[in-house]
Amino acid sequence: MSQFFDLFAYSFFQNAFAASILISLLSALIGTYIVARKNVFISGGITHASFGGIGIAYYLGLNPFLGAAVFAVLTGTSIEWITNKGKMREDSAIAILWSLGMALGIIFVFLTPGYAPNLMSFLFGSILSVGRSDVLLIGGLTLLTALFFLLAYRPILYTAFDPEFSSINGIKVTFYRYSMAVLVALAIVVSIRAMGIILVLSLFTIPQTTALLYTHSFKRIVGLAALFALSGALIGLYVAYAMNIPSGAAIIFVLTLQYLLLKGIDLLRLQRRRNTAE
Amino acid sequence: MSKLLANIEKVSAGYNGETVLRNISLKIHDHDFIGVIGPNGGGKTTMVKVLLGLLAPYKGKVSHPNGPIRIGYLPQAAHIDRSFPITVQEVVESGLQGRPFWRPGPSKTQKQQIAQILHETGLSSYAHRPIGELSGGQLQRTLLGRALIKEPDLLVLDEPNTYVDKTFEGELYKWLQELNKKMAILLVSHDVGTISSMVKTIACVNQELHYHPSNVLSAELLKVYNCPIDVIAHGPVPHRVLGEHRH
Repeated sequence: MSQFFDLFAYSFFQNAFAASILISLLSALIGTYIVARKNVFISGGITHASFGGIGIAYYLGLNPFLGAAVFAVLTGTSIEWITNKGKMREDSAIAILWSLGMALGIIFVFLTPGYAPNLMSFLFGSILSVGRSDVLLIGGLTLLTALFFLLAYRPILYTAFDPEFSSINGIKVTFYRYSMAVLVALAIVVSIRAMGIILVLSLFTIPQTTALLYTHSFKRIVGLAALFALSGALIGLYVAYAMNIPSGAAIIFVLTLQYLLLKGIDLLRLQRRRNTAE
Repeated sequence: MSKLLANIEKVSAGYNGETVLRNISLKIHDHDFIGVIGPNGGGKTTMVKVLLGLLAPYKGKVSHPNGPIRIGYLPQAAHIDRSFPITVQEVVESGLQGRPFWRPGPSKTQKQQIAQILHETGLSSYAHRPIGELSGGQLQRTLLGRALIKEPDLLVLDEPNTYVDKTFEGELYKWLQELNKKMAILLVSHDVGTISSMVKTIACVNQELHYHPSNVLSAELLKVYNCPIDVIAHGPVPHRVLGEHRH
């Protein structure tokens, strides 16, 4: 254990630790919105479509995460537009954007001359390879998201719950829904470096699902999800170090284990209450 | 002289180019209590959406000749996601008009209003419960509280008696009679028998709109109005129920 704490002397581990805390807070806010609006599939679409941006950026010699951000924002806002206009089945649109993004990513990575980037690092991520600039970027977005929630908590909640009623009541529904679509897309992209395209969505859903075992209040879900995400990330980091396994996968495994354990305790508690009532 | 609150003038509306309402007109005055009836798919909800400004008409317009009005709206229960993590108090509070972003929370007076509405709807002890834990009647009371909190000039209710028990339905209708002393009410229902005993006038909507200036309507008139309504079975024999009747 003391060897683990010795790692704090290294800057790569300090970055990983700071990124874990920041991503836990960011995913608690954004993930609760995603889960409350039942937008998990949409977020999956955004995550995978962003791979198209990574591929094109590589081909053009740009920062791959800039490409991912552009693709993710475009996908998120397009899906929001399709949902509002109802011109097309939402699930079909998500599936098309999802697979199109992946296909573009693979084509452009293949076409990139010279050294082919390691696809595994994008698919599974590595929190231990997060740099100082990534931490600053994640920190900036976390601060922006937290400020937006602090100032506009009510309109965010109301427009997510009942956009029609909010519109009648004079709330600028389009502004809040599209702002949140952009924040969801950016939050997913900045977390890809740490968790990877395949695993990132779990960070935005498992802590919230665990929190739902204890509360159905939006505010409390955010608080509890932050706690569960943080404990999952830190224990996951330790497990990754102790067992020498990929950190992203270790974190998701710990988060799932945490959920199953607490769900089991919850079921036992319910069973005991039923037995007492009988 | 009664005040004209909303004027629907020669409105045609629908979705994706398909026309659901053709050239309908309706005037709503203060203290009106209009029952909107018609078959499913006849355009009742479309008319409500146009009235609320949620759907732009293809032709015609909705105006408020005496200035802007406050509209309270109770949507169909099926429209509400009951698993959404929001509490009773938050739902009621969401009915308040938007406040500037630098003062996002309710004011002291508004807090008192929320407490008063929760008390009147019998939901004070449920204030911090999530809506997923409520019965159908309690949810409707919550949504009614949300519609009433800004003291609307016009209350629009879309099928308020679906998914609720008979006790709540009776309670709701008593409430509406009281509320009608303070505001105009537009009550949409496919159940003409239940509403005809309480509304003052009836609008039959089946693509077109026929306004009937009383609450008593005969089967012949419904045919003239091209407004076939569903057979109601709340006794041993299914039947159409019009005007006042007793079993």
